[in-house]
Amino acid sequence: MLILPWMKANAAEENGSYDDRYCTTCHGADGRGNYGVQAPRLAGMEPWYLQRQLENFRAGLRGVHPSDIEGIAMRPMATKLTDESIADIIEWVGSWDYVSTENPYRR
Amino acid sequence: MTRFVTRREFLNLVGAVGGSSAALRAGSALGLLPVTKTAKALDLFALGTNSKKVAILGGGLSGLTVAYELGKRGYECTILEASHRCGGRVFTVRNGDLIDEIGNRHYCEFDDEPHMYFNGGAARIPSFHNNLLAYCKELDVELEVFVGENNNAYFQDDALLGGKPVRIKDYKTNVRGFLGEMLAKSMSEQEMNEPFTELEAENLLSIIHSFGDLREGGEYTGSSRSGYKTGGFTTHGVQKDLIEFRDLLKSRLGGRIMTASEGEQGPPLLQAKDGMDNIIAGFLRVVGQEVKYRAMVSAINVTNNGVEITYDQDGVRHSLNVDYCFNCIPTHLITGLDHNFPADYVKAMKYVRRGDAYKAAFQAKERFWEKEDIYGGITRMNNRSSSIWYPSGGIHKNKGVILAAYNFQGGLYHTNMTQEERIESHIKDGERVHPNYRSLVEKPVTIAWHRMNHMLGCAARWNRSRSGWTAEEQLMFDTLQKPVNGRHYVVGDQITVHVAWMESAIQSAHWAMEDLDKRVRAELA
Repeated sequence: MLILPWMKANAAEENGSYDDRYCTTCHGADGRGNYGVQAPRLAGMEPWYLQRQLENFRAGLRGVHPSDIEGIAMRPMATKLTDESIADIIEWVGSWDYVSTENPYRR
Repeated sequence: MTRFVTRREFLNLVGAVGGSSAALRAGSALGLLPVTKTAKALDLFALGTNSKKVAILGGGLSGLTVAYELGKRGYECTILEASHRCGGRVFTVRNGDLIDEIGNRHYCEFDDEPHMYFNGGAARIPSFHNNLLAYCKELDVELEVFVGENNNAYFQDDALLGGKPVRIKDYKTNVRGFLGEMLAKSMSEQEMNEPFTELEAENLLSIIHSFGDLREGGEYTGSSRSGYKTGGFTTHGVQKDLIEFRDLLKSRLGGRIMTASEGEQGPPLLQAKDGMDNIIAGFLRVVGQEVKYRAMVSAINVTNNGVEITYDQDGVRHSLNVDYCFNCIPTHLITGLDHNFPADYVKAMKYVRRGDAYKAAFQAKERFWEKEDIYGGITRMNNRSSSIWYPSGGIHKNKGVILAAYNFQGGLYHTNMTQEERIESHIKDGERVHPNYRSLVEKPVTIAWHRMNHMLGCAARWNRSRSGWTAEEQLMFDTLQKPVNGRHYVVGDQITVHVAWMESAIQSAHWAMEDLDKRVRAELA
């Protein structure tokens, strides 16, 4: 198939190094949290706390209890993280300012 | 304690439950399939010298349909796509492609040849999905037949004949034979209470005989319909031994095997040649320059005059002010954005759950299925991997790509495994049908829709009860289908009652554009 430039993002970028900064897909814009998938707010949390949780998910201390549906969903996202990529994530997420999760009805 | 019933008792049972076994009803039963009207060209107002800006959030099929149609009428469209590719769940993987599953990112390593692809999402086009087919024609997307039904493929169930794979034709032929025999005997032995005419009775018996391939007297003694044991060309064919009825009844999957290729999944089915994403490429040939990739929406603010969108691209926050917004972001991810939607709208978005469909594929080092008379089609297994799909194209080439698993309802089973565990599970399941499977397959890809970046789920699930939609669910659906302020539309197969089909995504887009058109005409026409 002929791949024209506008048919995809840059191919080199697709195959290049790729960071693990995935958090906002679930945790919402600016880490505000997303009640649609029961993902908690990350924005405004202490970096040491965020790092501890990622390490706990990776180690299987969190996200293993059968009734913890959201934790079970989170765990595989953390299992492949290296110390370096956890540090990178924390540098990113740990700097976010607090934003509230629920938006009041403003219309 | 197991209680046995005789065939006669069984027939009486059927009669007691269903009324007279020969209850004839006049008139024709209506089909259960959704009716697609013949595709018609959308009659939308052309803007002429007027100018209107449109933001399309998400480059899936519904969004591209909007960009294509509104573009034709002079609207200025911008498509914001969060990921590196357009198409959403119309996703074909080929050599070098990224499968962006969060926590399990991997790349496809299939050989780089046109027939070596895997449709990880949409894979079948029913021949009555007219709007989709009309776009394929209009956009020059070459189609070919998708072989779904193949009676030479296998049915494997550990409960059936010691787990030995049975050709689907052998299963079906034998079941039909025994069902036919029961019907024929009930016809001849039971008194007819209903007013059959002689001709009707004669024709019914003929159908039954033909259905089961019965002998004179209504007996089933095996059939050559599923082929011969030996011979048949230069020597006379020797009939296969029949499979005993009791053996056929060991599997719980019998009903599924008998009807798997009926309804919306019945032949003839079509597919885009060389990969379903050629449909996406067809749209992009027209609207591709309007797409911004890796542009992730962070805020949607609906005002009285339009919609203010905020998005992040390359680490920079941008704003985009438009007259109208068509949003095909999955509803459960929209709720994570900064927005000012009304409470009932948000309530509906929060209510919708997502499917967890899962697919996997292998590259096959050789086309081993062709050595077993299989060309395309689907083997069905009573295990978690569920199916093996043999490719419809690439016949007699050296290699091919096969679907190794498709779990539509219970995909989280494999989703929760590591990549290594998933692959091992599919190899073990496949070995039940093809003993050398392990040595014949390589280069796996897995598509766990529940964890795909920017999607986090497969098709929307609106109703939670098997008995259908509640009034409250219908109300939420109606709320989310209508625009906010006449400015913001949620689209996609998620805003239909028939999710997980490309035709649905297109019809959702059409519904929204026709609604918009009334407003635009009122303003400008």
